[in-house]
Amino acid sequence: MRLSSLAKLAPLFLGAFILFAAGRAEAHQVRYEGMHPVPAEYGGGFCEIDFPHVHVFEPQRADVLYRNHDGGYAFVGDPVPYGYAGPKHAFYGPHPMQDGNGDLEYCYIDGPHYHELPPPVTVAAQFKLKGGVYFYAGHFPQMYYDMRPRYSRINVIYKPLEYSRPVVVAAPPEATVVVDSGPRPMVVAGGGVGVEAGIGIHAGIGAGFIVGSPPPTTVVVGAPPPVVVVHERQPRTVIIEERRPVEVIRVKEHHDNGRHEGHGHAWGKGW
Amino acid sequence: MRRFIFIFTVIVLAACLAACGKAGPSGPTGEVIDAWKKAGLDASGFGSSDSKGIGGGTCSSGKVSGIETTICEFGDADAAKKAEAAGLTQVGDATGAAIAQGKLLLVVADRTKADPTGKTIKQLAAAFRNR
Repeated sequence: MRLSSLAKLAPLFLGAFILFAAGRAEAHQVRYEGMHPVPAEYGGGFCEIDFPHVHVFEPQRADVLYRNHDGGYAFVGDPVPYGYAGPKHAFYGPHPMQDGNGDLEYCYIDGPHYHELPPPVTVAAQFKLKGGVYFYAGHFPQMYYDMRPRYSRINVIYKPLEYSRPVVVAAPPEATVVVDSGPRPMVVAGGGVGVEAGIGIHAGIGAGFIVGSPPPTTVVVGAPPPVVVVHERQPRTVIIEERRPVEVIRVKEHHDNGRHEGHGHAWGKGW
Repeated sequence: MRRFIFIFTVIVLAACLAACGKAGPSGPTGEVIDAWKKAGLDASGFGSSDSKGIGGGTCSSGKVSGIETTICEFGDADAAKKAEAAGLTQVGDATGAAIAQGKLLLVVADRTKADPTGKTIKQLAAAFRNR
């Protein structure tokens, strides 16, 4: 074979090499530290291997749904919309959490959601468990705020997902601080006192209800109402209400002659 | 009568040999296999396997409910831990894991995609750890 013929075949060899290399690259192992969603193109669903393991696919939205330490991906989202049906714990709003690698991380999901694990032992005392739902009542470190612009985008992923979120009919425990950067509007309703929404710091006496997700950098401090009811609707579906953006409603003071019946607002019915 | 005793002895010996041939690995590896069976998993086909790729040790391979499974016993826990990386290399392009516990290393690889949700691998590993 002449040299010129070989030169003509060079692009073919190059193409074949690239295809081979691409195939090899696709098959490289990706380490996961625990359970995680499986991309739709690889069958979808949820991988329930709860210890370090490998797959040959990359995680989806690893920039917000995972934390990566030592080369392994640790899922930090709510596993339920991906088909996870194992033991779970209900949370409301952002909070510290333990990822699949055992590291302390921060969950940025607004409103009610689930995780496989309960609060980390090291910060468990700063959670208030009311009606089966964990509310974080502690402080967030600067790192949490630094990473919030990036990780709070997790709400863009979860917002359109329709699944059985915990329906919380309750108020935050006393001195609960709900910090959030989600794009959704918030309605803060005092039990039998008024309805209010906006950006700012709310501190007051009386019952407080939060419906929906708060706007950026909103801090809500409220005392608990007399009754806390948390339930999961049957069948396992939740009506997700779409709310109009930043709606401010003020309702005049309402007295119920000491009966304190409130308005019956449901916590976290939607986004 | 002597003839009868002879035939009976031959039958007993044959039965014993057959049973011995079917017996799986003994020792710690056998205990793990028993733990899988107790957990309701189908562990079968276990026999000695090449351990060169996993850094030495004494290895047995078989299938557990469709998952290719290898157990290797090492001289000490450090050797087993160090062999985890080599075990993952053996997994290749399948879903799998390599877990060391004590002197044992467990390597699992789902080459036939028999376990898309990982539940079997999870159960298999739990029985290995809690045996």
